[in-house]
Amino acid sequence: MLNLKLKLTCLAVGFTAMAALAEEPLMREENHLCLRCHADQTYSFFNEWTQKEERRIMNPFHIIDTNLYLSGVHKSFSCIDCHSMDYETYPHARELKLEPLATCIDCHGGDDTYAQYHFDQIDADFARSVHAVKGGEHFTCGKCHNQHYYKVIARNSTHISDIVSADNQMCLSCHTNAVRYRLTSVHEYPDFSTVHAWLPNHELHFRSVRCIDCHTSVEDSLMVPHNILPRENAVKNCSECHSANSMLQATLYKYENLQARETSGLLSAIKQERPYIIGANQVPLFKILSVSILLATLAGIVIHALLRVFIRKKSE
Amino acid sequence: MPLKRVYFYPLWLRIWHWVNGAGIIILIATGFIMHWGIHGSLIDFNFAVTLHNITGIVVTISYFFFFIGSFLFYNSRYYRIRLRGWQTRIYKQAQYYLYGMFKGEKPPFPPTERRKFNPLQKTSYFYTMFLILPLIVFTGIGLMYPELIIDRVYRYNGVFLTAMVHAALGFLLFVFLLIHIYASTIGYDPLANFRSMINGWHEIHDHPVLKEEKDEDEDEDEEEDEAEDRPVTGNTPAAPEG
Repeated sequence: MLNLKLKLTCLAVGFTAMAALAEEPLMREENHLCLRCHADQTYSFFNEWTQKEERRIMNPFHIIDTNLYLSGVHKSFSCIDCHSMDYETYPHARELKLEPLATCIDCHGGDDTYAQYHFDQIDADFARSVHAVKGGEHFTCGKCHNQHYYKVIARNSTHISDIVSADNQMCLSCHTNAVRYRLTSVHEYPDFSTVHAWLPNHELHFRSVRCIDCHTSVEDSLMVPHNILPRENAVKNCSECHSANSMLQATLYKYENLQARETSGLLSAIKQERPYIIGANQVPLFKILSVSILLATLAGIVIHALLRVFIRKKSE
Repeated sequence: MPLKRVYFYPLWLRIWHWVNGAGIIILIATGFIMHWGIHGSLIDFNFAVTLHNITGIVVTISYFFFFIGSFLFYNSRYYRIRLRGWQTRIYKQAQYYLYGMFKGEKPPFPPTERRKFNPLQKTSYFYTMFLILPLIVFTGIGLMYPELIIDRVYRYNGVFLTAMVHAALGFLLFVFLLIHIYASTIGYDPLANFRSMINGWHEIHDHPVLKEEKDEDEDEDEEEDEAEDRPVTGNTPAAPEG
C-alpha cells in the first residue's frame, strides 16, 4: 500500500516537473549561435591568420544574461529580428558597428495590437522631455529601457518597492555613472548626492518613491509619464507629497494592481504596501478620535474654569 | 501669610521643566504641521521637520538628565505609587475636582514637604514621565533613523506602525499638557504654582493637619507613603496643581 502511494507521489511530482518544464520559456534555437559567445565572459574562435583556436574576453557591454532575457517581454525574439543577419558571421563586419538599432516606436508605433500601452502618446510625451530636447537623437528609448530584459513592472507588480526599485534603476544607471551619462550629454556630470543634499533622509526617499514622481509632470492618461522636466522644474516643495492631498495619489499610487491589494477596514492604510509618508497617511479613525478627545478636553477645561470663576464670585 | 515655604523645585528640576516644556510645545506644533501635512503655514514643512528633529534631540537629552537627576536627588520618590488603596485615593481626588471644590470642600491630599503630588497628579506624571515620554523618544529615534525599524510586523508596515504610535502618544502628551497648564492655575491663587516653578519655593498656607505633620521624619519610606496618601479633613488651602 505504502509502495503504491510512493509510486503515485513520484508520478505526480514527475508530471508537475514536466508541466513546469513545458511552461519554461525556451531560447529560440537560432539564438544559440550568438549566445555561444555573447552569453559568456570569454569566447573562443578559430583565428585563420594564426591557424589557432583563440580565447578572448567578451566586451562586458555585449554580454547577454539569458535568464533575464527569457524573463523579459522580448524573450520570443531572435537576435536577428532586431540585429543584422550579417552578425551570423565572425569576425563581424566593421560597418555593423554603425548599424542603426530599432527604437520602440519602430515596432510598436501606430500598431493597434499595442494600443493599450499608448506608445505613440509616450513618444509625444518623451519628445517634450529634457532628455529629448537636450539629448537629441542620441537619446533613444534604449538608453533607459534595456530591450533585452525589459519587463512590464508598473502594470503587473503588486509590490510598490519593486516598481520603485526597477524604475529608479533606469535613472541611476546613467545619473550615478559618469561614463554612461556622457553617452547622451555633453553637460557637466552633476553629482547625484550633492544635487539631492537638500532632501531630508534622501536614501529613504530614493527607496520609497520613483525619481520620476518628482521629475515629471503628472500625466493622467499615461501609466508612466515620460516628460522628464528640467532640473529647476522638479518638485521641491515637500507639501506636494506630504499632505492629505498628496500628488503621489496621482502618480505612484494610482496603479490599479496596487490598489487591488488595499483592503477596506480601519487599519487598511497600515496594511497597505505603501511606505509611510509623513502628512499623507492619515487614518480616518485616529482623526475622528483625536478631534473628539481634544474637543472634550477643551470643553472640560472651559466648563471647569467657568464654574470656578462663577462660584468664587458667588461666595464673594 | 503662608504657614511655611518649602523648597519644592530645586534649580536642576526647574531648568529641566522649562527646557522640556518649551521643547514639548515646539514638538507638538511642528508635529501637527508634519502629521496633518499643513502647508502655507508660518513654518515651512521642511523647516518643521528640521526643527522637530533638533528639538526632539534636545528633549531626549533633557529627559536623560531628568531621569538621572530624579534618582540622584531622590525626586523619584514623589512618583512612587502605592497600589494599596490607589483606586480609592484616585476616586477621592477626582471627586474633589469634579464637584468637591465647588461645594467648598478642601483638597483631600494637600501638598506637604513629603507629598508633592496628589494621587491624580502622581499617576498622570508617572505614566507621562516613565511610559509615554520614553516611548515617544524610542519611536522618535526610530523615525529619525528608519533603517532601525523592522520593515514589516506581520502584515503591517513597521515604519507606519511606529509613526502611528509616535503620533498617538504625541497627541496624548498634548492633551496632558493642556490639562497640566490648566490644573496649574488651581492653587492658592491662579499664578501661585507658576511662581513656584520659577523661584522653586512653594508656599504652604495655614492648615491644622499640616501643622501636626510638619515635624514627622521624612526618611521612613513606608510611613511616608502612608502619610502621603492619607486624606486630610478640615480647613485646607487649595493644593498646588499642574
